Amino acid sequence: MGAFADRHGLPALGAGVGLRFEHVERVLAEQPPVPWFEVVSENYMNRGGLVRRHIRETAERWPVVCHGVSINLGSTDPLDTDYLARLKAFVVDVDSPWVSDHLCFTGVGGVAMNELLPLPRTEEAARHVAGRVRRIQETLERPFLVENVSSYLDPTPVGGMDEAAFATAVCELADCGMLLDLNNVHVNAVNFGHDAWDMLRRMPFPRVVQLHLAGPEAQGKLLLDTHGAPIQDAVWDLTRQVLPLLGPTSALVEWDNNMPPLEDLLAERDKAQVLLDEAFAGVPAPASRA
Amino acid sequence: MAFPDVLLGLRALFLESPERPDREALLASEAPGLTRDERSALVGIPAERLDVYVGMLRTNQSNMLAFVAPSTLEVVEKLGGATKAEFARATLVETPRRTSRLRELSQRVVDHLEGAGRALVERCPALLDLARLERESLETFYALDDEGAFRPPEFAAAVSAATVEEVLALRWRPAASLRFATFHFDVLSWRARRFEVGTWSEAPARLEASFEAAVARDPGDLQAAWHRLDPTALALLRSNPTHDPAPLEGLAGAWIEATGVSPDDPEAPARFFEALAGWVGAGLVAVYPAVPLP
Repeated sequence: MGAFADRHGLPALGAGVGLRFEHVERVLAEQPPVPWFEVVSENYMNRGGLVRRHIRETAERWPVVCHGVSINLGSTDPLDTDYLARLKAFVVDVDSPWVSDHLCFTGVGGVAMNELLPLPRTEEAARHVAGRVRRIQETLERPFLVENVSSYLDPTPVGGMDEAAFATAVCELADCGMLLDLNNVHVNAVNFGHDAWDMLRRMPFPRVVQLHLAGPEAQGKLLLDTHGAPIQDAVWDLTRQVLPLLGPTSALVEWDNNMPPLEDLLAERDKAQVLLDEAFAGVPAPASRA
Repeated sequence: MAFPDVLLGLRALFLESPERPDREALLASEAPGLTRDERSALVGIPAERLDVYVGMLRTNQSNMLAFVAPSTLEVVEKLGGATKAEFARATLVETPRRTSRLRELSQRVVDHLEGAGRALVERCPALLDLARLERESLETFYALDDEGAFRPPEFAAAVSAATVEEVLALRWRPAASLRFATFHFDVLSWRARRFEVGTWSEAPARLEASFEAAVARDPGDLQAAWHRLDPTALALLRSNPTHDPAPLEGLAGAWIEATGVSPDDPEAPARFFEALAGWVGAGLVAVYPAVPLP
């Protein structure tokens, strides 16, 4: 386990799956042997009815981790305190051991754009984001992880940082954890023509609590982080390389577009579990709550 | 450094650059505080990379609109004279939302049709009612649960085993999912017909008299279901506006007064309970156990 996870007593949950509406009814009915699920917080918080029933029944059987897409870490707009209050209530409700969101901005100037938009990787931006992460962590009273994002352009002016340096600066300044998305490392390496491992090896490993694995799709010369395809071999290779440097950790397979049958998604998860098992033989498997 | 201006500059590029291709001028108006290096970084972004974000934002908006207002989106394209992509761009740029909440997006659709997008409504006047219908349906679908209230079978069991006095001591309030809407066009029938036959028929004409309907979450499938109720029922459902559970005795009294049923009629309790059971079964009202005596 990384130092951040150790300090906060965070468990290594094994290989989980991002739970999506397309699969939730079958998951609840069939209870596949998945050690944990991650859910998109915004899809459930402050909601009743069917979605409330889904998440309540899921959280009764499995550990659930809250992963957000619109906390808007990088924005210069005030933090949305109403959003944070609703998120906190949801996090407590499902007893999420940690909470994560993306190292990006999703809106500014009072306009929500609902996309993971790239930040200029400057010291000013790192300090700004870190200050917001600290306030979020204090509000949520849970360990908070920032996730590296895929990007297709770089607004960083001359003299800025690279991905790894920026992520490290934010994590250190905020004293937060990191959700390391290996697909995003791969996508950015392809899109910007750098070596993925060279970037990955400089990420703040002691702060990594969780991995994301997903599959991109090509658009011209670019790779887009669509979560709409199988995980690429290059990402499996990065996973094999990085796991021994991280120690026992939690990994999560994401799939959001071109949704496959549940069996295919679980097969991807099984591959991730095999890699975790190979890397950390002897570490007991986490028990589900069932 | 002008970090806020960098973000504002990116916002302008992502939202407006296809329609305002002079990037220098766009940044000068939307992000005037940029330093030379920052402006240089943004001006130097390859167009094809910028287009990725422009496309993602518009596709995402279109997908979200298809989720929160599927019927409205279809009718915009079929009868409003705009493609779904054009409507997505217009709502994104002209009536943006402030938060990521789908419920806000649903409201923004209505706002857009009442404001910048009113030309669409001029071409298809029923469109606005349809958007309002979908907004209320979404609110109902996501509304918080009535924690602690009887489910319909529990209510039936509680009533069957109780005296009239015990039933009247139970407490009620409008279901948390209950919403009302006034329609000037019969979009309920129009939309139902669309689901039946798979295509939109000609838009309905304006009604001589508008009507009000209620929508609530069906306790069975938890989907939003619309109800055409008579004015008496609508008024009764509104007769506990405080939303604190109140004894059913008050609702029974209001029902007797509104319906004209004699309180001395021996069938009156049974008729009231029948009406109440219908409302509970439809998810229109939430009924709670009586407050225990101290």
